[in-house]
Amino acid sequence: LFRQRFPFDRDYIDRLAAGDPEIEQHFTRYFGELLSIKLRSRLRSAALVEEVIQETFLRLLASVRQKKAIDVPGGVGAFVNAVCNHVLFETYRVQSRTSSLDEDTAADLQNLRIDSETRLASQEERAHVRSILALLPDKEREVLRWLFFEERDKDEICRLLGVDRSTLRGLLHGARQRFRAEPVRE
Amino acid sequence: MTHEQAVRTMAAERYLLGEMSELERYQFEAHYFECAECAEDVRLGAAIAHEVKTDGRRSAPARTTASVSAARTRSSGGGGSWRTPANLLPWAATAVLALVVAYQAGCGWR
Repeated sequence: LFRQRFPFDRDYIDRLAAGDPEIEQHFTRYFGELLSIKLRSRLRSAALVEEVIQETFLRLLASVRQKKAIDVPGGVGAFVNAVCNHVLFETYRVQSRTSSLDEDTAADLQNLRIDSETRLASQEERAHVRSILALLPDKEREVLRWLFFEERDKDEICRLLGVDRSTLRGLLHGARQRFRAEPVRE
Repeated sequence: MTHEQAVRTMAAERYLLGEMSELERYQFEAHYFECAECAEDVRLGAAIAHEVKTDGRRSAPARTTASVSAARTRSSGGGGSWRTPANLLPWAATAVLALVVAYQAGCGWR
């Protein structure tokens, strides 16, 4: 789970350029997750996030097929990130020129949010994450809920618990370590 | 950002908790798009956050009320420190009032 199955070497890029479906699927899934995480904190709607991801992939695949870019095999990730940054800045410019959304449109986009978030992990991976979360002590689960669902102010959480920020980081780190240590149940 | 810097500063956790400046976020992204290990840290942390959110949406009305009231109880002294302004103010007011009453009573006795 969550492992990179292919090295980003010359063979990978050649197969990507040739339109190999397995490699294309891996490429869009692996980087689709990373792009989604990167963009969700910067763009106001799930539809916009998806739009930027699609545009980034279109440009990347066009470049790879024309063999104009990714001369350094180790630089695939850097190339993906750089193209995404370009698309993101273009989106910012367009967004700053358009008027704000009406309420109905905003609500529709909010409803799309869950669909876009499914990029983050497969059903199997999500089930495994849920099983690990269920093993956490109640208190830790509650704090994660304050952090990520209720999105409470972190200083307020620290005050309530009498801890500092490093404890919150440690909590997230610990949950992740537990995930790695726990075998996947078939 | 190097991998050692990312690990030492718990960059993945700070990134997911929104504790980085915009510049630092771009620097860390440039790193984790290239580093499979840090990318895995970020993806796993994001998956945990996502599941917590999804679970929260499922059980929002009942649990939010319960956790907010629990937090209020703790912040007002139920489980944490009792030395909060909200707790101390009535005690202070009572003490001042008692002094005033005692002083006035003392004046009356003379």
